[in-house]
Amino acid sequence: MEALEYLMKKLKQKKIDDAVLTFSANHSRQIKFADNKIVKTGVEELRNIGIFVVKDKKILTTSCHNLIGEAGLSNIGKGFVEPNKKSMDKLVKRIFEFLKLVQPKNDYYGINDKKFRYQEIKNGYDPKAINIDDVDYVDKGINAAFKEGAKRTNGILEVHDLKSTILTSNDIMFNEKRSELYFSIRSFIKKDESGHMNALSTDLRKFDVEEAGKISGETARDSRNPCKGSKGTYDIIFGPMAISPILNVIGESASIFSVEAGLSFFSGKEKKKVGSKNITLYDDGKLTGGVNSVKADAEGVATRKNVLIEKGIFKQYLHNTSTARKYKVESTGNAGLISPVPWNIVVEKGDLNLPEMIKEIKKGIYVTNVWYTRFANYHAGDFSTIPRDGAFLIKNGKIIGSLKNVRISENILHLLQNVECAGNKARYLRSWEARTPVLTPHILIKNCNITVPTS
Amino acid sequence: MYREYADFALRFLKKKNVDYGEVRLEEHEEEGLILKNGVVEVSGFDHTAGIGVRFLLNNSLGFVSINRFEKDSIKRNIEKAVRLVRKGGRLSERVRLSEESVHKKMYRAAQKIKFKDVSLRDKIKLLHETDSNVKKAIGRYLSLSSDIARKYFLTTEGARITSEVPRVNFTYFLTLGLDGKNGQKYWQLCNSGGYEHVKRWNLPKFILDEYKAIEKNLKYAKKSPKGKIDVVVGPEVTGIMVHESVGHPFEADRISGREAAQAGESFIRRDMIGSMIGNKIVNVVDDPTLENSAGYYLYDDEGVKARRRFLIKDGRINEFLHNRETASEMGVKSNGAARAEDYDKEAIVRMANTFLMPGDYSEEELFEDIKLGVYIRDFTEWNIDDKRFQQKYVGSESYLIKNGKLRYPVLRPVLELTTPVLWSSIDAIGKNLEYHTGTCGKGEPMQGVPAFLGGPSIRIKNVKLG
Repeated sequence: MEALEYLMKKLKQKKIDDAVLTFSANHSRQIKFADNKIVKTGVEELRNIGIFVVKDKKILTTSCHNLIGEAGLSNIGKGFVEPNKKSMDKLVKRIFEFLKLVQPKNDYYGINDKKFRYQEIKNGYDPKAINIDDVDYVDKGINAAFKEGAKRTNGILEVHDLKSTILTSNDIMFNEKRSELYFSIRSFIKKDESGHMNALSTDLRKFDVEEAGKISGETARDSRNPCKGSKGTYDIIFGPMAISPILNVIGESASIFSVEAGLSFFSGKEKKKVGSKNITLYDDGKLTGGVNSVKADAEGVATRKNVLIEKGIFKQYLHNTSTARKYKVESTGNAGLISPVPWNIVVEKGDLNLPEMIKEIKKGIYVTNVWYTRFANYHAGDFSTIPRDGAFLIKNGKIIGSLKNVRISENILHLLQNVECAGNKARYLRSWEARTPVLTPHILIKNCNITVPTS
Repeated sequence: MYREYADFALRFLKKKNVDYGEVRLEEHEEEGLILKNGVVEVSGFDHTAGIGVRFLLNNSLGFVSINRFEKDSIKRNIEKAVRLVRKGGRLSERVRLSEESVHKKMYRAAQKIKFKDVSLRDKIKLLHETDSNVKKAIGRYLSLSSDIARKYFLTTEGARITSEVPRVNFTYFLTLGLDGKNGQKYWQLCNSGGYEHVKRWNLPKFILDEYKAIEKNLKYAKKSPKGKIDVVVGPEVTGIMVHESVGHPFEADRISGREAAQAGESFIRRDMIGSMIGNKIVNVVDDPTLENSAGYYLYDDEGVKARRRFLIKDGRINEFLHNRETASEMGVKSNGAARAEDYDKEAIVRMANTFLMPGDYSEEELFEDIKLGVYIRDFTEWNIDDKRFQQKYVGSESYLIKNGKLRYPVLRPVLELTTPVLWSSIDAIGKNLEYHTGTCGKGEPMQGVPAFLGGPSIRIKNVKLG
């Protein structure tokens, strides 16, 4: 705390418009495994002070890593020592030398000045989660996959203990504290026979590595002897892993920053129909047990649940205070001081379970995971992505085999318009291509375009 | 200023009787700015530093990353990692590292024009000049940044390598709208060295050319022909093809399965060395020692001396990319391909600058035998499966070729094919070698490293265009 207060005092002496200082500390452990064996054991202790300063509408960001002692945390009394003050004085001098050369951003409208009564995130920090027996958890996950027939497993276990303090020039200060457990397991039988599932939680009671291992192993087992797919139009059931990168792009596109930069397919779509009535999704900064949940955003606005798409209608963009003032709306509590960001993307559940969804399909594919989602044009939403791990061909309401070497070549708005239904059970996860966590059921989308390579 | 902490960490590793230990101190001095739609959105600077410590104990691998420069803290974290490694011993892979020469070296990539000698004001002015050339675009995102990476690498075997590699980077997203249609292009430029590269890039002209290409496409492009056809692709497309379908599947840690969880595996097996994978005119190398390159280094992040790697020689698989772990596993020497994004990541097998060796055709000569074909000069969307077997490239600036001549722009030709089909269907290679830049992502946790993706124009015979 002392470090932040000292730095803020120095910045205020220079008559800044705004400043936000963020201290973060991350104590982590990792176990990476390949072919059922641990290949790396990692330990991490990282700290940082993020600095956002605005003077005469000129915006600068920088950081300060090299502090001695436990700067920023009030509950650790080791204190803030003289060398820190000297290094900060030097940093402040450089900030203002740098700012002299910067141009103003005339459409900058300041940071939050309201005081909120924050509510702690439910189940956001679990001390038991930090102290798990890492090797035991990895072992349990691998064994669960073996029971389903997996021959090889690869993956990672991560344990994070994260703490942060934010102090703004409007005298708003708050602490966040979060535990995070992440387990990713990919099971193989033969080379083209694989399954993948993750477990993600702040709360040890909800961290089920065995379930992740089981699903991963089952998917690998069911994907035996895959055949090459054929091009054409298919109804696709996207599993939670498979839809997560697409939901991430939807979340990013909802940020007003993306809209202004020409990188959003929601540009000009506010209050307009972008999807079928069967899709409702929102961003939830307060999601219980969400690893990305925070009581307040990066400038101290209390987070909340923001509906992005309601029954196919795009409701609102994500804003911080400055962009909200520019567009004469209310901040959605999604700062990102430069670019508003989603916290946890949640898709509203439907009524059907997976077997019932499969029964609905005459010609389709159940896709459990995707890989390498890339856009030809973010503004238009044109993209393609490659199903990986179990992908299952459906005919007349039944799975008749597994597939390989196919590609989904589509447009996001076209997918949204063709959402037929969402499943009745949601899974919370994050993946390699989906850094924002999602809570989503399976989603059935009609008439998707499948392409295949020249062979 | 932090070297004493790195030296201390190495001494402490020795005290803990590890079988092997290494310490990598990294410092980054960065500066950057973003211009969005003609307005300076944000600018800033950063000076980060931290230590990555890796060790082998009873053939199990431990890794510690820390940016807290206190001896107690370094000791505490190494001790914690040693305890955890011992505890996981029963489940651990028997990791071994190949025997390699030990080096004590210092090297630096020069900045002919130092970043610090060019004022921020001049950099902003340059981005404004660049932006003013494309004012009609509905979305303009331009980012210019520099990074000086300093490393101090030590091992219990006696290695001591000090390096300094500066890099400059320009990234852009350009979105055009015209008569209800829109087009977009995003890409990046990067070189190791100083600001002289930014001057050479001539950003105002470069971005104007990009704009004009998209505009021409939106205004005049007709439907692309489909079906079996001859295709010529430009150096930017060759570069991404080489990177995705040669560089990645030749990474030994994919072949061994170590990175299977996220980055994926390879359709290539370890017993395929010497097998034909393409036409005998195909030669692909990866070379970290290429001066001014995005992926430049002379010693890798395990202290192994870098060298040019011949991945495909005369159409045959010649060698894989290795670090010390995969080299030991496959019974060869490391060829210096270990790279880490920063001090807080382990060094894994990575490409540096991968390119197809040039041939002797001019572009006109590549076109002249084609009755009906398509020339794909650059691309937008692309992807490849995680075994690096089936891939897709969507053309951006593209033209119909008729009777050996370029006729008119065509809209988004789609090339979707397998790796063996691609490299076996090349029948002529241009002499116009160019290097383009990508940030290559791999690993769990994800690491992004700068790399050159290069090659000349190539002719691909009789492939299906969608």
